[in-house]
Amino acid sequence: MNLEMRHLIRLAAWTLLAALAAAASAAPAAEAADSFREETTSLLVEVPVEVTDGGQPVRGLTAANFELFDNGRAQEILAVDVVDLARLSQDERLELPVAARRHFLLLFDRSFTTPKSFEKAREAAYAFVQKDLEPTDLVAVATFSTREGVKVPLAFTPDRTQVLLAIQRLGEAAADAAGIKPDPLRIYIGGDKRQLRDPGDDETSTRAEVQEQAMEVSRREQQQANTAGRREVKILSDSMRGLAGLMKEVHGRKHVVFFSEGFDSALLLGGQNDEQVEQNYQAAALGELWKVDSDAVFGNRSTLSALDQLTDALRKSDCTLHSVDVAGLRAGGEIGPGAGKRGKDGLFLMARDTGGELFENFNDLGAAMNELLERTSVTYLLSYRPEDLDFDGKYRKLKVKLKNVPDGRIVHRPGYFAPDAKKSGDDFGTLLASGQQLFDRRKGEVEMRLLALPLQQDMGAERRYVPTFVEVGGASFLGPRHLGMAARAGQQLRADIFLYAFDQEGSIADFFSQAISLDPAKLPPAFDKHGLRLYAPLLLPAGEYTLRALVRDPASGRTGVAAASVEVGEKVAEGQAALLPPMLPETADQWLMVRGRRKDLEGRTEPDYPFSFSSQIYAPVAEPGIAEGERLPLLVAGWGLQNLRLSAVLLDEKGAEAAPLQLAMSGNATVTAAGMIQQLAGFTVPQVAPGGYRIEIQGRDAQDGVAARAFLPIEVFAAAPAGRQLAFAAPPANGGGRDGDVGLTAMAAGPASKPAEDQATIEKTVSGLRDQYRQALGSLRPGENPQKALDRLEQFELAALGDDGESKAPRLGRAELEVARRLAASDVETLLPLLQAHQELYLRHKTERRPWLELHSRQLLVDLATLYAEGGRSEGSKVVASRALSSLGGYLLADGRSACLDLFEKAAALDPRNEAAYLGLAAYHEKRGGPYDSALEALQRLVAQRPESREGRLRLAINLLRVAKTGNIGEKAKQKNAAELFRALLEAPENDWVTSLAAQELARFEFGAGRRGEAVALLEKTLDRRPDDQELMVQLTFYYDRLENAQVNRWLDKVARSAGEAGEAPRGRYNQWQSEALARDRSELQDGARQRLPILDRALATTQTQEGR
Amino acid sequence: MAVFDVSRVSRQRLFPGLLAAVLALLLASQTAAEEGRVAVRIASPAQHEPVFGVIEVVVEVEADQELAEVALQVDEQKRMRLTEPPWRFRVDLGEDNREHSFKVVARTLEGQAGEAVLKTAAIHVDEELDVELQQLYVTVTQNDKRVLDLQQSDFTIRDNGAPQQIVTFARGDVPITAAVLVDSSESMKGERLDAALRGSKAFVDGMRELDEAMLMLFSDRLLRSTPFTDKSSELLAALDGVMPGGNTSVNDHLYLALKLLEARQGRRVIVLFTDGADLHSVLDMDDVIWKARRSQVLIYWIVLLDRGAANTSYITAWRGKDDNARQLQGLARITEQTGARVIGIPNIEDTEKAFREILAELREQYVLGFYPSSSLDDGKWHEVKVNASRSGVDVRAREGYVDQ
Repeated sequence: MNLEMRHLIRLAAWTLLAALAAAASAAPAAEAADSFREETTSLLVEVPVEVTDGGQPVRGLTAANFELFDNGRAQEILAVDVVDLARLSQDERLELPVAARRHFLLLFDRSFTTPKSFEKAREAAYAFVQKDLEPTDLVAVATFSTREGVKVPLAFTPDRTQVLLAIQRLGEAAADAAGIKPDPLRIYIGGDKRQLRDPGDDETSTRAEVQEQAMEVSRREQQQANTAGRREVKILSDSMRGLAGLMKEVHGRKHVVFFSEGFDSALLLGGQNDEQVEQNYQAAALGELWKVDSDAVFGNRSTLSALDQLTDALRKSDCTLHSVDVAGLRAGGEIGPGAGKRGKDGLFLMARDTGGELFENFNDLGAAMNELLERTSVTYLLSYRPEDLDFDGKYRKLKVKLKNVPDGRIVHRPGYFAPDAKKSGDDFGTLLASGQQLFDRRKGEVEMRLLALPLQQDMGAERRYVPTFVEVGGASFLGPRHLGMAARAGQQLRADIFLYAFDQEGSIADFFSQAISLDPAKLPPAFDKHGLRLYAPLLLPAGEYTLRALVRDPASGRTGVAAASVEVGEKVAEGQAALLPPMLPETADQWLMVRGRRKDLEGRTEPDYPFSFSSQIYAPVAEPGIAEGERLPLLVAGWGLQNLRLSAVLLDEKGAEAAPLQLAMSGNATVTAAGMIQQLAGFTVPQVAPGGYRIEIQGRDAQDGVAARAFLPIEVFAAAPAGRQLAFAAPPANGGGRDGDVGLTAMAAGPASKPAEDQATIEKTVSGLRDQYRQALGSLRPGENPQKALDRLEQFELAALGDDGESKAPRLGRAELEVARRLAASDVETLLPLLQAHQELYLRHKTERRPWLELHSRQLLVDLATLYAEGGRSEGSKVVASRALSSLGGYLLADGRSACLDLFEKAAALDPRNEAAYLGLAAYHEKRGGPYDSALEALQRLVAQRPESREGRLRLAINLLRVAKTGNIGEKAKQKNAAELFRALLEAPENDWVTSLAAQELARFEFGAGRRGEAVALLEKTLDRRPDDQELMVQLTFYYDRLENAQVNRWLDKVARSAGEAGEAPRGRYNQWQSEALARDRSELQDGARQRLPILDRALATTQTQEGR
Repeated sequence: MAVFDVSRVSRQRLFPGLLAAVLALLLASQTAAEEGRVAVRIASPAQHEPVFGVIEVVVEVEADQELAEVALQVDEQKRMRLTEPPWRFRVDLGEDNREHSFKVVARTLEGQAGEAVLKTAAIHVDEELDVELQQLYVTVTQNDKRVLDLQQSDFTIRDNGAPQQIVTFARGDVPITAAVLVDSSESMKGERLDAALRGSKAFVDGMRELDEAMLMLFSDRLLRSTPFTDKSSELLAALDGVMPGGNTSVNDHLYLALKLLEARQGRRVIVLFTDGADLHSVLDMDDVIWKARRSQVLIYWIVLLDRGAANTSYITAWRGKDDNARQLQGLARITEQTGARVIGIPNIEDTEKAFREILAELREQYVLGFYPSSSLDDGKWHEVKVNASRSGVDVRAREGYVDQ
């Protein structure tokens, strides 16, 4: 495999891993589940494996050395990434995927451990983190207590300061000292390295002594009642299973280091002391069996079972548990309550069953961990793509075998959980995984940009006010969701944004988070082309930082990550100057601006929004696009430049001067209350070749000569790009790899990177197209041959695009839509003939393989339907628009195009009783071989809305049985439900293909369940109604054959004699997703369009006259 | 005249007691009518020889006058009479292990008569086992050419690893009973169906005396079906005016053909012609395999590869990709297990050749029969291996059977 190919595969891997993460955090709402289902078919799974020989890692293995099985099925290994910690360069370490990194969860037991041992454990862990970990390792900190279960104060992070602070603060109240709101991702608990203290200091030891005494009392009480210990072990087991549930969301292998003295092995293994044995013996001899503690003799089965479940859960979540017997960490032979063999047994069992080890009597945890680190320092990351993966959250077994490594021992996770499309995005495990993404190469699906501009305001503790703009791309945030539909459905969108500033040592210096609820009805119209801009203030001391931001929509599971560097200089002193990057005016109604608030700044004077001048907002943006020859105002802001003189130059990508920039000052410089100097200047972009440049601004104080420089990277276009400079790049032309669809958004927005024509030329073209379109529509008259009218429209569209569909299709769309709007303003019913005509045209373009026109027609049909629904006077117009959309969806479905899903959803939103829309949704998933859960969901919606739909009920029952086969909870209930649906269909008077299939499937179910007599009786009875139904006859013949019943020959003879007499095969009909409902809807649409041709005719004449005036 | 060969008996003079006994036995059984001048002897089967199934009763008659008829009674039931020699009776005694009595009466035109009687014995068994003869149709090739000169002794058969005794051996043209299944679905419309029908016609034209066949034209329903017949005209008539339509349900129709062949005797063959695989049969391929393993039918599958149909994974509303792949693989596997094969034809022009090739292969098969030595009627699969002693040859035969 060449490097380029490897690179591509890796790129794909992370894209798809992002999809995995997204899916894992998807919410139950149907709208949410839809937003990512496109990705479900091509998920890439990565399996980290470690290979050792005699305890030493084995290097130099390739894909040929591994065989990988997913749920027992051999998989093609697409790539093997080797992560050799000892041989990685610094840069490579930064690029290390999280799945290949080691994760350590330090878990401190507070219930089976004495306070003194606890302190020793804390010291050992502290030293371990400081000395023994690799910089790439991620560490989390957790505690267990029988009172509180497992708590995770710190999620996986590379920030050692936060880890040490978390260990240090164990047992303390949750940190809120800094006044900041808690970090939902829990990678920041507040504080910095100045707050770290030596864990072995006097204060700590004293606190331990006091706690020890208090605990001793409690321990004695527990010893008197053995049931307490048993209960605690049960709590431990349940808590650890809960922990495993959290960990399954986190990529990569997790080493859970469990610091504990363990628990009495008698609770697990039936061990007992001599006195207990004697007591039990005597009790049994006297017949007093009720006095025999069966748990003590045989072991507590329920506890043992729970422990089995615990280790199983940990294994499945790819957690290896290493038990550290903290009694061994204590000096001087002090023994705690669970110490000795009894305590160790429990720890040993837990560790052994997850592939870990028990470190007993081991005072040097670091040494033990070093051994572990050495063993795991080489990781092979195997990538493959399972074809049959469903987003059902189910566990899938993995097996990796070694080839040609004779003495090699392989360690890998025993399986993984498929993403769960129904899982809540607010689940803590999902949050853990989201936090992990901050440190990963995965950038998520949502495009983001970051820009920070340190101001001069000192906010105390030598921290400066650093406004940071987090820009979230609207289109990528929305994904396949449609704003208009979401608004109508009353759905809310949510963007949770997390922003962290990491200093040069990798410690978090500041943190900001904001949860933003978005009402789709109130978003700017161009939200999908621009997006959301969060103004997030950070407080940072002078220094260099890496900003990392994460956005996640818990409903859809979509995430995005961005990183940027910022240098916060020392406060500008007397005789010094500083400039911010110059800013361009913000275009109104493009971005949704949100100003974030900090809890710790409440009640304090926060600088006003510093980027306004004369009521105009100026936006600091990264790489704005500017047209050559365009004249724009520029806001320059800085400090220490009272007598400001500005000069500017345009630099090319290599830093050489491309052209001088003439700045025309607009008025005089002003000084804000916070001391910032602002100057507005106009400039014209010189004639340069389109491409990337930097504007260098130099500000100089005319009096004292101090100067400062700032830069603004720009992209120069030949003409102003559509959507101005702030638009995010359009989605990839292949629509993110969906079925080869060309992204409609890309078409509508126009190619941002391509030199555009002059705007006036475009307008002229559009105007001309409008006239031609209107003329072509004139042939859609009552009494005219409709095919001739369509021919004319087709010729018009072909001529309009010429050989440049990419750039001309948007203009054609605009022109036709504008005409349609004017006609609709005259009479909305004119849209119906247009809808019908363009549907016919769509089919022609599709047949003739004209992709741009096909896409254009699709988009136009959606627009026309939306226009009709919005402009209609009654609910009936929504129903008709809904049918038009489902009709179009039907054509896409016939081609297996996933874009049909969006259309069907839109259709269902407009008319919740649109049978064809739900059947289409279900058929899409059935045609793709699943996930059948999604088909089931659509059919349940249909039957809820239209219980009379026979096809809906039949398909629902069939899919219920399919889903029940997967062995989930509720299998029997689903089967029962399906059987009831079949029976109800059979009891109905209708006698059609649905009747036949209900009988076939119910008989199959009964036969499979051993009720064979019922199965054949059912088929015989149905054949009384359908004597020519060959499928029923074949099934009955086969069943009699299986039963060795003489009736077999009778039915065999009947089938043979029925040749040529059977009509459409019911099973073939089921395979034809085109429902009667769809055919009916299309026919009605056609009739409606025909009836409205006179209205269109009149409207065309009227609007022509109006325009003529 | 002598009714038996005295010289042969005289060779036994060293054993006078035995000779006397044999003479007595022969005299008793043959009831020679020296004086009536009609002497009758049953030459085969031998006295007390266990017999069952179809046997030939050979009778020798000596008379001074012309014989009018020779009649045979078996188990006191009149079975056959012959009016001219040779006096050989072919009778089916059934498969039961029991004694049988034979009586032959010969009459002259003048009304004189003579008769002979004979009894056969049952095989003594402690526990009776009903063992079905397993027949194997074996194709042997070397460098893609069929090898036709092997003898029974060249073959070995192993049943679940245990060597078996070959009890029947034939080579060459054993009559066949065939079911020809032609996919007549919508996708076959035009030249594809025309080619399939030409191929079927070639097959029918190639049938010989004692061969018989039936035709099934199917899509997702049975479009046309003939009874089994040896009249090619009836079969060819069924090929006229076929209107293709519907999708393809291979499993259902393959099962039907297997079931219909079950009632037929002799070498049974299915020739299946499709351009694709099953889309939505009511039966699963596992159901077909269940049936095929319990029959001795050879399944040949001619598949048109011009659209890559058989190699393409596909999804239907009924089955996912994996499940459909399983159906395809199952069909390919079961054709091989029956000892037949899949014939993929990349060009439609090769259709007739493929049909003829199957017929030629059938004509040149070896037919080996054996009674399984370890039959338990337990419904379990027995793996059968046939080997030929000649080096460098490929042997293809049914891979096993269900013991039932």
